[in-house]
Amino acid sequence: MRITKFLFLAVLTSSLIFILNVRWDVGMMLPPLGKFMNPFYGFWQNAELSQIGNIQTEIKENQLLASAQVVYDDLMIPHIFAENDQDLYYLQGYVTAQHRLWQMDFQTYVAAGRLTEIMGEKVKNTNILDIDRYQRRIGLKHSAQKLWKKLQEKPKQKVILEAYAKGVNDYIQSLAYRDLPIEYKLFNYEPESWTPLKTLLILKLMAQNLSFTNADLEYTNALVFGKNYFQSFYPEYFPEEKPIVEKDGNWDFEPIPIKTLQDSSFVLDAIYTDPLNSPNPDNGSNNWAVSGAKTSSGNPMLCSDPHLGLHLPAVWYATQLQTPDHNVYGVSLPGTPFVVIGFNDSIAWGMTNALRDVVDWYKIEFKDSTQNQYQLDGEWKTAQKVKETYHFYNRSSSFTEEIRHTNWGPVVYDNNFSKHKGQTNLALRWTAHDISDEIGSLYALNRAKNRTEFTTAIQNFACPAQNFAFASTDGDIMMRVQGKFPLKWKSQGKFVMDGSRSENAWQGYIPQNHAIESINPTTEYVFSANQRPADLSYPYYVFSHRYKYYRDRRLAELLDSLTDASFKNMAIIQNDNYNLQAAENLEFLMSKLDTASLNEKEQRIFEKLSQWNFYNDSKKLAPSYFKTWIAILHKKLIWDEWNEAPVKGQAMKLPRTINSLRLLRNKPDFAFLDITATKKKREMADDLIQMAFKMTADSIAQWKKNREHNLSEKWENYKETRLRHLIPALDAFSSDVMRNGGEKSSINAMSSSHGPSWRMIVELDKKGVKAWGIYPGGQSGNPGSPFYLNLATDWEQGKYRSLWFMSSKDDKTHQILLTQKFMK
Amino acid sequence: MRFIWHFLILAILTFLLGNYTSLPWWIFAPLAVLTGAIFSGSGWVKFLAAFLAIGSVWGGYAYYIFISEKGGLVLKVGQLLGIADGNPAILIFITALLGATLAGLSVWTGHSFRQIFERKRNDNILRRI
Repeated sequence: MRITKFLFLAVLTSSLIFILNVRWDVGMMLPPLGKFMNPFYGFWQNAELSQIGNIQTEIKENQLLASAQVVYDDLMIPHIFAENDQDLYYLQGYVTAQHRLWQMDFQTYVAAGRLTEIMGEKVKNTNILDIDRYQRRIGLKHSAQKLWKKLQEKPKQKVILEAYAKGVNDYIQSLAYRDLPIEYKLFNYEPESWTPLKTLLILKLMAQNLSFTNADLEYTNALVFGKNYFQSFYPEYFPEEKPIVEKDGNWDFEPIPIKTLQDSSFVLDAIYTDPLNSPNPDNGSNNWAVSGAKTSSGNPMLCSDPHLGLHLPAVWYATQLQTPDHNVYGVSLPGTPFVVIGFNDSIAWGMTNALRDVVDWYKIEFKDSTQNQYQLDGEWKTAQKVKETYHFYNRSSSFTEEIRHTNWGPVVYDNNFSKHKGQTNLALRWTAHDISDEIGSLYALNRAKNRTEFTTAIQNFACPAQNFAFASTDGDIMMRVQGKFPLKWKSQGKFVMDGSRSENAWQGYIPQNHAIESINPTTEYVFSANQRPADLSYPYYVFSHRYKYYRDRRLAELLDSLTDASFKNMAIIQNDNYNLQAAENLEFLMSKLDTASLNEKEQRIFEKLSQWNFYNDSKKLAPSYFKTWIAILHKKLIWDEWNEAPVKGQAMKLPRTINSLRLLRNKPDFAFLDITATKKKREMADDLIQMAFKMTADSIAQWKKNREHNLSEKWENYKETRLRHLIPALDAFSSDVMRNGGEKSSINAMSSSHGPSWRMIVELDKKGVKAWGIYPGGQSGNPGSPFYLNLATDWEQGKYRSLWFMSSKDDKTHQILLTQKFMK
Repeated sequence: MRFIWHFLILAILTFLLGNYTSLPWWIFAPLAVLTGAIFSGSGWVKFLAAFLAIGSVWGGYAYYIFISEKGGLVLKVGQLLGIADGNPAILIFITALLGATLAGLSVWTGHSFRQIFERKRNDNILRRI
């Protein structure tokens, strides 16, 4: 009897330990509670009890060639001083991992389609396996592996990537369980060893975020409306556009002739369904450089503000890197070596995304359901099979599939993957699949001393294509649209193409010496804001379905009139909330309203709008009204035909708002303005404008009803910009609502989840480069660190921090938090 | 007196093992099984000693972290786990209760192990009489 009692208790105790030691996926994901709550072991250990946190000040166990040191300033920005390149990147890996280990590791799972290993097959209603399959089918991991294989032939790149990995791994080795970032404890898994492949995966993920955007399936589906209507829905060009470079035909090269095969390019015999998510269209950026003629100091200045997802841990990690032969400062991507956007002793550079259609789809005809062979030029070719296995959390089970690779690229869509029947097989051709050398390019860019070295450095930068702004202490400014761009005949790749004919392939690439660039122009400034790269005289076909239309023109206007530029007025431009869309359209829209019919509520909205100065400032009400009005007009009324797909899952693309506003103005009787639900009435532009205005009042009232405490609809609340943790379920680690202004189409391009992820202003003074910067978040990725969100308030208010560009490791001109010594 | 000794031994060892070693998080459980078997006396007294010892060490250390931390993590984790307003007091209490419960159960297991032999000895004595 007593033995039974003992056994019972022993089993009970061990079971309790077991229960508290594993993760439970019951509706919500429950961390292993005992492990997680133990104050000596679990999450309590992630609460930092000092400013410095867990950083060790002396590190004896390392793989350095020479002693080195890292100085952390009062913003926790590391200034790394090494004797040689290999040590430098070892340290960059070590130091970045100290603050961002979980983030960089997690992003490689995202890139490689391995999230099921952390999350399991499903989380609530989100099918994680589908997300992973999407990721693997577009071939990101495959192309990173291919690239790493190729880099074996490039000793410099190989050594750098391996040194970085060693640094990360030595840091991982130094960790006990209690030191692991909190996300590992929550999801109950452990960091993997870092590899050069993981760095390449992170670069490929960036390439995906910035270059994968395309509308080929949606456009192909829309062709059923006929070519004329298609042009009215999706015009390729608007006459007001302000391109990055304007040369009026003065291009000093002989263009490569391109054979046009218009007729064979369309494949119209199918309705395409299940379009893959395009990257967020709010990924964009501004950059500009002005010559000394426009600044008060006479020194050139450069500004750069990349707009990316406003995530926590922050997208960027600021750092200074110094060896005896170079000294560079700026922001880096956690998981990759180098400074990506920044400055050195002689030059500064910034990037914006160079939009261009570098993603094309080819219809594949398989011989039979085994999908072993596909047709090309009348022959059957064998498809390469790549087996992909997806392990679920804890290796509890797995899913395996074979992905076919053709001459074009991976067959992303086929009957195995699509949810809807009858999906045509589509292969993907994308420049991110090609071998390229961004590693070598960034290496040289960090060390470039002048315009020539800069141009040589970036010529290897292929994907994601970027508009590189440049300024130097020599007084040069320059802009170059840099990337690997396919040669295309007009409209090639705008629609799904016939993959059974090799003549539909890209005919090559635009040579680097035919690239769009502008050097020291007479306007004394260069700029870009994701708009069209060149005026129509550029002899190659440059297409994107979403070249920017407002931000660029506002920027050009401000830069045209800019004189005596200094840090101060550059900061004002970067934080400019002017809404050009409103400025150009509000008066017209309001003139169409029948004011006599407005009730009291609508009258108030009308008044606010008529008093508005078109600035999307944080406390104003009018921006919220305008945004709602436009959104209802655009999505609910004008393109009501788009709200219900004729075929289930059909890929459909809403025309752009710019186009809606133009139609209202120029073609008030356009057939699609009619609302299909009202059978008897034939609506025209004026009717829609009036209806939308009335609906705006209701929509705002509904919005208020869904919020607590009768929240005001002032712009900051309505826009609701927040810095969100990478994992939506961990929203407790996100920031509060940011009390700031800005709008997608203003220079301060702010939306709920996207915005300026780094604002940098550099003055290229020969006596010493000066710089200011700020980013949303903080250096530490640990929600328990005082440096997790410490920069958010300044960022929110449009303030900057002066960046301490140390001349040497003995520089004592600024406050130091700690010095970390790596002994040899 | 035995209560106080038992309490102190478990509290001090739990703190030292937790803070200065990288042994598994549940190391205090086998420890409590051991002390439960070694110490004589009533099961309830032992249970209370272990429950209070680990409860106060876990709760006390959690409280110390909460008042010393610079990043506001405790509040965030409270919110994450669905505690109303992320109330730190509740989170600290749950932490203490978790450790205390497991410790109490462990010491009881040890005690019941001891009882197996105590019973046998009693049987022998009876037989001799």
